Amino acid sequence: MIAEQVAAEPETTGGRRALRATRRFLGVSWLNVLGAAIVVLVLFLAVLGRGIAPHDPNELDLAATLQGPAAAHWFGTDNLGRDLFSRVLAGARISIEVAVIILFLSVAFGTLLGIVSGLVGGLVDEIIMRITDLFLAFPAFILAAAIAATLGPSLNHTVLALAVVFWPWYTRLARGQVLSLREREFVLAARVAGAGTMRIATGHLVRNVLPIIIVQVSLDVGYAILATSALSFLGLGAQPPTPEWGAIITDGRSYIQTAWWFPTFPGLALAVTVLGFNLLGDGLRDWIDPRLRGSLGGVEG
Amino acid sequence: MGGLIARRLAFMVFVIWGVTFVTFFLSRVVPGDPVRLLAGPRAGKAELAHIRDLYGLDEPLPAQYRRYMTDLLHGDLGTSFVTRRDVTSDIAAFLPATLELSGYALLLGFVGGLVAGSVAAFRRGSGVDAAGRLSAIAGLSVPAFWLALLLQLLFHTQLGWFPLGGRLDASVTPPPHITGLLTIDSLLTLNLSAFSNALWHLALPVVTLAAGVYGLMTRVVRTSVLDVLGEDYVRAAEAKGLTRWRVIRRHVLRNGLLPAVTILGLEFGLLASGVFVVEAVFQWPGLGSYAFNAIQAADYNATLGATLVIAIIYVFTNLIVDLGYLYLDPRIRYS
Repeated sequence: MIAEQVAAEPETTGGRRALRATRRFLGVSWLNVLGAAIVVLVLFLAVLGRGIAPHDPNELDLAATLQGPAAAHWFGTDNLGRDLFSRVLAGARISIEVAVIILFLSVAFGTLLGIVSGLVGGLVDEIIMRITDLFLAFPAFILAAAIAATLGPSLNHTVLALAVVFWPWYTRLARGQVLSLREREFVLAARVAGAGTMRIATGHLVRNVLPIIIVQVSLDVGYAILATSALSFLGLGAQPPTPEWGAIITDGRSYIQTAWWFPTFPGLALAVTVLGFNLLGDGLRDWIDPRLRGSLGGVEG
Repeated sequence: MGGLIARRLAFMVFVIWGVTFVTFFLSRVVPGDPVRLLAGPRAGKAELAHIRDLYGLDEPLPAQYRRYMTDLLHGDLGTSFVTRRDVTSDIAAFLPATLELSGYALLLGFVGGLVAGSVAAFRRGSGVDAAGRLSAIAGLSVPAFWLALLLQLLFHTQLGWFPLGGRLDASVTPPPHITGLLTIDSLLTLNLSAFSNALWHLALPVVTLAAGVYGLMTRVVRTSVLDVLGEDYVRAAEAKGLTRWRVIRRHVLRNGLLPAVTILGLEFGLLASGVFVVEAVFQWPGLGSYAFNAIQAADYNATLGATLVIAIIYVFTNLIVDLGYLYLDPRIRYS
């Protein structure tokens, strides 16, 4: 459906069409506007945060520990006198970077495997699908926690563990798309014209599978960020002094009685960021899913 | 139908075997040496060798795995290196706390999501709809460990309405062990003070855990009720002159709630990950805390046992959901 629309668009007017589509998407609901605004803000802060941050995120000031929010320190300071606002800003960059790497790894591996599985079929398909079933039959977070614990606590290992649990979703998604596209005219035409399997996969299928993958990615960014900080919170992810949001919240946990701002602000940043990505992803999916669009009548008719 | 169930059962056995295989070999490459942890820093070579021999850790990995599987088939999950008790009885002791916590969370999230999702769908496009969607996405977005801390800060530290953690106050005598679920056991023995105390301790962790369930449920119910509202049979029922409430009750809700059942499996996945962090924050003596401590201490058998039990519950839930769906909707064909 969307695949067709996107494929049918001539590239010359792509920019203008994209602009128009964006405007239409934002016009659907103010929730879409809110989601997009949060995502843009977070991306902006992640890229430029270092320039905005008033302090070095790891700069100690033992004369100013556990200070409440004030003009000098907007989000207060932590137990070592570090500026929490600067640390939260640095955390935005870490979260975005980590989510991008996790999703890049799982999308690249998962989509490729899904396309191969759908295109080749037979025994290869059967084996790949049983392996993905095995992964999907297991609670993702528990598996990620077990893998991260096995590899030893570090942010890199968390990234790897989450990529390991994320890829099967993309394999299944891509395979489903390929199965429905495989028998369509443009693929058959390419086959008749003598294109090989590889050429069909790279030339025709990837382009058509991509839109649905992009929607899924937008839904998964929030989850990737959330899972990373949950693992850090459990001590399996980022280690001190890395200003990862989950790790800062762990540090702040013991000070919650005396310094409420310490775990509160990084948590707020985390919650709002995940909310933004989820709103955007949810809006995109609703917008693209034709069942939820158009003239579905309510009870009132 | 019989063949299908047999296939699903066979796949379930395969998955459970896969889980033992993956976790066993993963746990054996852990950098920490459990023997050293167990024996303490001052243990001599002979002592280490003795412990290795005692737990069969000096055998080659395939032999260890064979032994583990043989014991497993006899319901023996081995001995915890840390507590030195049977992992099976350890898990039996910790599991009820988790079941009680997640049961109430599932119930609360399910009912809340059902109401919010249907109301949002009936008022599609209105402010109520937007509020419902926003609350659903917020429920899925809020980090459970942070929400737990905030609730503690507000309702314990500031207002003093709820306890910080645990299942019962130390001053309250726990009810005798019947099901292991404190609220049930205390009701069965008519111990109302223990009952209210247990509920009081459940409140904050249940709300934290229910947030995600509520979010997922609201979203699914809203979508599926919207789908049903567009169906011809709903229009036909309206055209027939049935009252609005009757259309909603007989046609819309009955069909719209079907997908709610199918996401029970997903809900369980959410709960399983939530339980880990929520139990950690509220010092809830459940399987999540147990598994977490075991992972931290490189306690092979306990880690393996806890993971296995969680996986088995998960696989069973999904099997029941699949079969239930098959029963509810005969059109479903499995390829």
